[in-house]
Amino acid sequence: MKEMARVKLAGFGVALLVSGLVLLIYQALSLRAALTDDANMQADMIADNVSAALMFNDVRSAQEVLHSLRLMPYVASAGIYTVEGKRFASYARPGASARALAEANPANVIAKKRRLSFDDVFVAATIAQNDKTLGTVVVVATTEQMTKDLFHYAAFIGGASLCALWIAFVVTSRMSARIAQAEKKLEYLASTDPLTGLPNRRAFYEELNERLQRGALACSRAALILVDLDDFKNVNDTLGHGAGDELLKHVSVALRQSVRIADLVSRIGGDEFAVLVAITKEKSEGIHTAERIARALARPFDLPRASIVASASVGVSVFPDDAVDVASLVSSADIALYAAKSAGKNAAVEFHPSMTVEARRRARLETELRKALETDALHLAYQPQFECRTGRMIGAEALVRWAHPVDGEISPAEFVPVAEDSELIVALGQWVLRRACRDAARWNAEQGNIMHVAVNVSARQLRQVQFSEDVKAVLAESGLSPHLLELELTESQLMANMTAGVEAMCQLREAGIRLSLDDFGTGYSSLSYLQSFPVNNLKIDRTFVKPLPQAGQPIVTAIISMAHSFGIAVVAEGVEEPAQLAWLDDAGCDIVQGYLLGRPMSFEGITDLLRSECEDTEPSA
Amino acid sequence: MLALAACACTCLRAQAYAQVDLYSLEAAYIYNFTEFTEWPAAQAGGTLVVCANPRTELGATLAKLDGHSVSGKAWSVKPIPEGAAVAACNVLVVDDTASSAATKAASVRDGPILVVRAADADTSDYPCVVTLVRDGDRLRFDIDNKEAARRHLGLSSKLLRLARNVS
Repeated sequence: MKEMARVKLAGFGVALLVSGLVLLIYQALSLRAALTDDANMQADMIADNVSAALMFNDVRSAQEVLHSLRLMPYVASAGIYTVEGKRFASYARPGASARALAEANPANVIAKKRRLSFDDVFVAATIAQNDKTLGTVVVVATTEQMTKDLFHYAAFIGGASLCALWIAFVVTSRMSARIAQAEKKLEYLASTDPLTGLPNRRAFYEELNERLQRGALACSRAALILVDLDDFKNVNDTLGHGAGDELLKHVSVALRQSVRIADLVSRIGGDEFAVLVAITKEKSEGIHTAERIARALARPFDLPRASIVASASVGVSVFPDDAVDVASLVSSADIALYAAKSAGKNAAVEFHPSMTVEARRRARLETELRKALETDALHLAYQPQFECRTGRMIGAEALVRWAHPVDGEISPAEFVPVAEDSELIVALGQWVLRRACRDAARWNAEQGNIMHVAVNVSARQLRQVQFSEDVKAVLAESGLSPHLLELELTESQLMANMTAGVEAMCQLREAGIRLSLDDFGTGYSSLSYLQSFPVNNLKIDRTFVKPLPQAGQPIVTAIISMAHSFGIAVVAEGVEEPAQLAWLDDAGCDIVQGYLLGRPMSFEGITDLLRSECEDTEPSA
Repeated sequence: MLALAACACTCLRAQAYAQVDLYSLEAAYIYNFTEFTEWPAAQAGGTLVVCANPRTELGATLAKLDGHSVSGKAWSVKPIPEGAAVAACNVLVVDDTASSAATKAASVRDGPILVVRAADADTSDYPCVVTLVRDGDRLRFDIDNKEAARRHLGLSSKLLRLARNVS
């Protein structure tokens, strides 16, 4: 920057020098021209005045005329010459040498006619009377005064130029200082995350690139650790963005403290952090650091309004063992992070080549699932639900199935999470809802029976603003009565966005749609939540049903009595043993579902079952 | 013209050697005087009548200049006429008694005549416009400017400056 200012200043200086020189030359030319004009005028005057003296050969008179030149300080010498070239009279400034006297000679006049020079100016004028040439007057003017004037002028120009240069210097240096400051600020803003003060994504990748290049040269290892806060969205949604920001600040401080100063910590996304750690000895240092980070974050952080445990999923990839370039290092760390999240969060996972295979399979599944949705290649299975009191089949839960043309049957446990990771889950949920409603409308129409269908809803679906409208539209399209549709929501997804969730639930209830709280007992199971959720059913998770009737009776009893006191029916899923069914019946459970009573079956299976049930009941009726 | 100038210069050079051809010099002076004299506009004509006694040396020398022109006027050297006819002269050269008499006749009138008295003329009774004087080995002249004014003659300041005395 300073160098730039100096270069600019030098250019300016040169420009000033050139313009100064041009001005000086112009001044010298005009001064000399003026001097020549003056000398010419003097010569003409003398020539006019001495004509008579020359004619009458009066030297004394001619000398007198010449003597008047003493009033002109610039005239060094003058001479009057006859036509024959003989000197008639001459004059020299007082103090001039004899040589100066001889200098005023017509022979010198032609020789010394130069425009730009500091030599004496020689001019001549012809003496004539009545068109008769009598002789020549030669006047020699010194350039002393002119030189002096020129020096003054040069000094003035020099002074003015220095002044201008100084002003230019002050202005440019101030300006460049400001520019430098602004650039520095811009650079800071462009490379820093304003919330945490950590380098941002761009700055991190630049630094990563540089460090890896250096590392490749020095054959040293480095671990890229990606940190993703678990359920950060929950904090933002339940405590507000201010609390979320506060948490991010705490996390950034904790991250900084858990690594060395030389290591790089950056916030690369909303709740995503990246850490680059230099490894001095063994590869395992990478996972050890990642575990340290996970531990450091799995503790409560004090925020103004609450204390929050910010558990994090951490993925590690080591350079150059796992990847040899930036792109693959980042993607392998990302795969490890995904694995950590899949492993149940709050975990640190080291990258393993096999993960790439999994990641590829996931990517392939996603593409093919999208295709399957477009081509209607999925189908639904229905698991019947029975009323305990009467033993009647009162409904069925719709379960999505995917028969892959190459891989065969793919478990929903595998492809549903893949869909959950992308927006595909919305389309999938919509497809299931539409198909289930259509099927339910058919079986209800055929049999003249009343049997509801239960459909699982994903958190992402519920987050859609127009979700309840979509559901109503599907109902209208299929002709299914709203009270025969039961939407199953999970407790945790409702927790994630209470306000929006409750609002959507109210709208659905108003439309006459039944709601069921899925997997009850595995999450927070807060009583106050239960009060605010307008649900019809409550589903006891299979993990509570499984140990029955030998163990776990108190909790199931408590859930059933609690639900009943709220006026909510209880559904038990995963019923596999007759003893379990007997116990649940005794405990007052309203509805049961499980392999014991009916495996998931096709639409035809359900209609058959429905028909046979009708036949069973009709005779007794 | 050139011949005259050459002549005048030769004379000047001669003077430098102190061998003065006085008459030639005087003739050259008189010739030069006519260069610096202005006659009234009415007098303007193609010729300049120079009246001199042709029998004197000076008159003879002046006669050689007959036909030369000065400021566009040709010199016409003539003998001095008698009586009132002298008024026809533009220049009257006085160098002997004969011419002196003519001077006398001319002096009573105020006609525009440049009266020049030669250096060695022994008559000095009547006013002349220009009087040539020998000053050592040099020839000089006095000017009677009042006389010139009376005669309506304009003498150049350049000429006046060179005069020894101006009255």
